[in-house]
Amino acid sequence: MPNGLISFWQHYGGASRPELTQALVNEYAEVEPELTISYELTPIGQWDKKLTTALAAGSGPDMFTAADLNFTLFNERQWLAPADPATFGVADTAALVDLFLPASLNGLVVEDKLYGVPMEYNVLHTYYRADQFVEVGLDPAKPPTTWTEMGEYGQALTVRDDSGRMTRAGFQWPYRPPMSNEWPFRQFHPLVYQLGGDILNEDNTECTLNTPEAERAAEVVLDFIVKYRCSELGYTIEDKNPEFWQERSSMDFEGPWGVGLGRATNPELFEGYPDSWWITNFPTYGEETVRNMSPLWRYAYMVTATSPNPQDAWGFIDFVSRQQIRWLTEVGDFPARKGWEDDPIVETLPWLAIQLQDYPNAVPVPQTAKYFEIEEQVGQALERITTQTSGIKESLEEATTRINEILAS
Amino acid sequence: MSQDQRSALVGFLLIVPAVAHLAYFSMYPVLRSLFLSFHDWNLSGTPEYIGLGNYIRLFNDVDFGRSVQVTLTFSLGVSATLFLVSLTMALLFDRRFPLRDFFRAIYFVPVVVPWVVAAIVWNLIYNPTYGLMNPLTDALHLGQVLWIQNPRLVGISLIIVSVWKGFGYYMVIFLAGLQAIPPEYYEAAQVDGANRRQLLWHITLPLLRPSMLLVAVSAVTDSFQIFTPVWLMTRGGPAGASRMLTIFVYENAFVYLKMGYATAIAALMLVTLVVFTRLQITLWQTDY
Repeated sequence: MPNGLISFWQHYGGASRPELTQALVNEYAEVEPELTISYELTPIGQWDKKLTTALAAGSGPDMFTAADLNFTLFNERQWLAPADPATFGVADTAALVDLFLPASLNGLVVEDKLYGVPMEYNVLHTYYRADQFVEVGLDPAKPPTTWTEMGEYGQALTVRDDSGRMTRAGFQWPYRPPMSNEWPFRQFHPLVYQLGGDILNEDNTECTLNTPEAERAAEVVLDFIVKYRCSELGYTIEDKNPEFWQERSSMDFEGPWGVGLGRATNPELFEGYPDSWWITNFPTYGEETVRNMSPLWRYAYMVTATSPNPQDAWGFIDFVSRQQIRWLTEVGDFPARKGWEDDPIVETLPWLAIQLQDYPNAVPVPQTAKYFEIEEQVGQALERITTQTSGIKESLEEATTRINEILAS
Repeated sequence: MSQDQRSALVGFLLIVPAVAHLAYFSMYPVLRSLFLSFHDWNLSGTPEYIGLGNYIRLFNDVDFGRSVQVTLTFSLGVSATLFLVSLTMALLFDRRFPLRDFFRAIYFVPVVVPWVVAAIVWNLIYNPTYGLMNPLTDALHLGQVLWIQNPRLVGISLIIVSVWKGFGYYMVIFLAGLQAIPPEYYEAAQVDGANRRQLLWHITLPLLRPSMLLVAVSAVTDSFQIFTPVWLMTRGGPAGASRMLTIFVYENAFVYLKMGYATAIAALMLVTLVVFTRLQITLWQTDY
C-alpha cells in the first residue's frame, strides 16, 4: 500500500498538459488515498538547469519529466532508478517494453532496465494556415513537401509593411534568443541527415559537420533568410510555436502537441480546420533525399535513484501512461503506450493519420553526455551563417574542430 | 575581569554574528571555489584533485579566449562611456535651472529598475519589427537594424543598455564630488580673472579626481561582472559575440556540469577584480 509523499517536478510548456496532469494527480489521490503527490511546475527556460543541478546536488524530486537529451548524462551519473516491471503488471523488462510502441523507448533501456516512460513522444510535422494559402493563391490541398517548396511557399505567404518590415512570416526558422539552442539544432539535424550526413559519426566519437551534406543543409537555412526572405532574425518575440497560433506566421514545425496548443490558445482558429489550418508531413529534399527523417525527441517520466519511494512513483507513472486517450484528445500528446490505436475516438482526430506517417522516420539527436556542449557549437555555427559573419564552409569547419576537441576532452 | 576586559568581551561578542555571517556566506564560498578550481568535479560525487589542470586547459581553450576578448571590450566600452556621460550630466546638474531636482530624479530611475525588467524592456525597444528604435533608424535611413541579432552590433547595443542603467548612479557620485569643492576656490579664481573653461580645467576636474577614480574602477568592476541583461537578451550570442566570462562560467558550471573548470575561470576573474580593487584603494589613499 503506497504511503507517503511523492514530489513531482515538471516543465511548463503550455496550459493543457499541466491541467490534465493535475487532474490525474487528483484522481490518483482517490486510487491511492494514503499517497500524496506534490506537483510543481517550472518554466521551460529554467527547467534543465534547475533539474540538473538539483539532481547533482542530491536534492531532486522523487520523480520528474526530462528531455531525452539529458538521459545519457543522467544515466551515466547514476541519478535514475529503473522501473519495476511488476508495478506495471508484467513479469520482466521485455514485457514492460512491449507495453509501448516500437521505437518509443529507444535509448531509455540500458542493460535490460527501463529508466524512462515517454510523456511526450514527438516528431515534427508542418502546420500551415490553409486560409492564408487561399489568400495568396496557393492550393491548401497541395502543401509544401520539400525544403525548396517551404522557401517558395514561405516567400509567397510573407507579408511586409510599407517600411519593408515583416509583419507575417511565411515560415519562421528558430533563432536564439528567444528560442533556446535546442530548436535550431533540432531542425538543422534532419536537413543534414536526410542527405545522408549527420552531426556526429555512428559511435559519437567524431564530428561530421565538415561535409558537403552539412554545407548544403546550411545553405537551406540561409536561403530562408536571404533568398526567400520568409524568415527573419529577431522576428520571434517569445516562442515561434505559439506565434503560429497567434497568427504571426503561416507555417511552422510543431510536434503533435501543436494541436493541443492551438486548441488552448486560439480555439476559433483551431475549430476552423481544415479550412483555417491544417497539417502535412515534415519536408524532405524530394528525389535527392537519401533517407527520410523527422526529428524525434521525448520528455519522459523518470524516477530519481535517491527517492525513498521509487515503487510509488512508478505506480503513478503507470497510472498516467494508461490514460492514452485523454493525453491524445485533451493535450494532443502522442501516447507511447499501446492500447489506443484502435479506439473509435481516433477516427475523430483527422490530423492523426498524417502525424502517424512521420513516426517511422523518427530519429533522435546524438545520444551523448556532451550533447549540450555540442549543441552550443552547432548553434554558434548556425548563427555565424545566418548573420553572414562567416561563410558556410568556414563556420562548419570551425564547429567541427571545436566539437572534436570537446569529444576528445 | 576588569572593566576594560568586559568591554572588550562585549565588543567581541557583538561582532561575532557579523563575522560568522561574513565567514560563512562570503569567505567560505570564495575559498571553496578556489579549492574546487584545482579539482575535476561534476557537481556529484567527490572532487578529483588535478592540480593546475583546469588552469592549463583554460589557456588552450579558444572559447575562453573569445570570452576574455568580449568581456574586456565590453567592459572598456561601458566604463569609458559611463565615465564621460555621467561626468557630463553631473556638470550640467551642478548648475541651477528650473526643474533640476525633477530631472535628477528622472535620470536616477533606471538605477532602481531591476535588471530583469530593464532587459525585457530593452528587448522590446531593440525588436527589429516592432521596436521603439525603428522610427529613429527609419528617420536616419538606416533600414532595419538588428541591434542584438547582429554580432557586430550586439556589443554596442549592450553597452547602450548598461550606460542607460548605470549613469544615474555614477552621476550622483560625481555630483557629491562637485558639491564637496569649496566655492571659495572658484571665487578666488574668478577674482584672478579665470573664465569658465579655466575654472573647469584647473579647479573642478583636478579636485574631482578622487570621484573620477572611484567611478572608473567601480564601472570596470561592475561591467566585468555583468550577467543578467546579457543572459536575458542574447544568451551570449549571436555566434558568441556577447558571451561574457560570467556567461561562460555559468554555462560550464550549470549546463555542462564542469564545476572545477568553471571555478578556475571564476578564480581568474576574482584575481583580476582584486587587482582593480587594490588599485582603487591605492589611488584613494594617494594625497592629492
